[in-house]
Amino acid sequence: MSLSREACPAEATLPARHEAGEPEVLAHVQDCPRCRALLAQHRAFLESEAGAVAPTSSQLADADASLAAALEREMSGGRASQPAAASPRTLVAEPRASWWQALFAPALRPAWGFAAVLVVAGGVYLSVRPDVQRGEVRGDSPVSTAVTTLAPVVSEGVVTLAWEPVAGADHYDVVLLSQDLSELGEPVRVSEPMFVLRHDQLPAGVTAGTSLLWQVTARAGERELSHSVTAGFVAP
Amino acid sequence: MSTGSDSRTDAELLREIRREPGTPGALAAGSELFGRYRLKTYQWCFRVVRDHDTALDLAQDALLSAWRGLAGFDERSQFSSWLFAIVRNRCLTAVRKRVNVRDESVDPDDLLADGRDPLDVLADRQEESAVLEAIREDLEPIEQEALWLRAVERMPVDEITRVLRIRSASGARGVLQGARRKLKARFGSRMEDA
Repeated sequence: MSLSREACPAEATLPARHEAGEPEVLAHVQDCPRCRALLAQHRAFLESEAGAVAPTSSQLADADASLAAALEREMSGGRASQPAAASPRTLVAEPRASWWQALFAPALRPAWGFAAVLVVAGGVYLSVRPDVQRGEVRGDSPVSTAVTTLAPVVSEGVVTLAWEPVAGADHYDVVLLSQDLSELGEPVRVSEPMFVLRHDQLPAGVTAGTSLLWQVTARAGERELSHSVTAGFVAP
Repeated sequence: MSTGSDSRTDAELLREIRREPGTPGALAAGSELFGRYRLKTYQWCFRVVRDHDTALDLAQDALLSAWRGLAGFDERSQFSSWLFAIVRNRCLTAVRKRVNVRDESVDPDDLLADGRDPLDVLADRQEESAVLEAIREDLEPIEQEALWLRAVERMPVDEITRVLRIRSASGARGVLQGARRKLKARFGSRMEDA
């Protein structure tokens, strides 16, 4: 048998095909340490049984809360690019004084005094500053809309991936992905909202007819403005 | 797979997410589906990288990538297998980036005293397929799997014991030692050239 990686069933489909008892897959697995190791890992992932090294219960609780918060932000359309460590991690609420007691605590009195000075200074500044045109985009406010991809256009040996332009973007990074979301090569940087992929530019190991995925990120300089969802296309 | 109070299967939740993306029902289904795998993902990452913050970063990266890539999931595989492929690849990439970090679970005295560890030589000098050929011809199946996980995937030894369900007292360490001796016998002179 060939032991090149290409001879192995796709990683994501291997467990189901093995479980279904496909003769070709069973024969391959019997002779392939890589696939047997992969099946063992998949089983261990699902079982999550205790091993010699395991996170503590507080680490588990922390991870669960952080990941839940990150997923919630992402699912509700927020930008979830903050590192996990910055996620909310308060799991057990400390006993708190009522809000008005906390507000006027002695320790906060100097802060109140400073805040009052700032308010007065701010008022003076606003009264003398030049007018700012209404509606002008200022500062680093990210464009909140996601990049909207258009349907891939396929012609002979060429596929065109296109998307709606994003206000403020000066370039776009296009990344091609395999079905298991592994990146295929480096992202390609383009200035127009379009990327043309010819057959002879396919990443190594990818053949015509392979189902691939792509994602585009709009950037201003190196700052990410927004990204698309991952969409599919067939390699030309 | 279905857990907890929601009896829907993963496939049913996926259909709900895709039926009307962005609706409260779809988001609830997404929350339930990914909730089933949050901790499994983190635990897997932790066992591979042995550090809470790194594992949390990897798990978050994998889960968010999976959510963003859900449109590309073609359901030829189970959701759990697809997600695990993503998680595993993220971890492998992270481990390969820090190959200079020693695995503290390996006692240097346990390695063969003369010359380099044959596995390191193979992993450093050979293509994946050559490693596979070598270990397949001479070793028992359990040795092959343990060697693959150790030499190519750089999995910690105690984690190999767990993944492969090795019940002997010496665990994967004993299996690996036996495998190393066989490889040493086969490749002897070529190893010392390395």
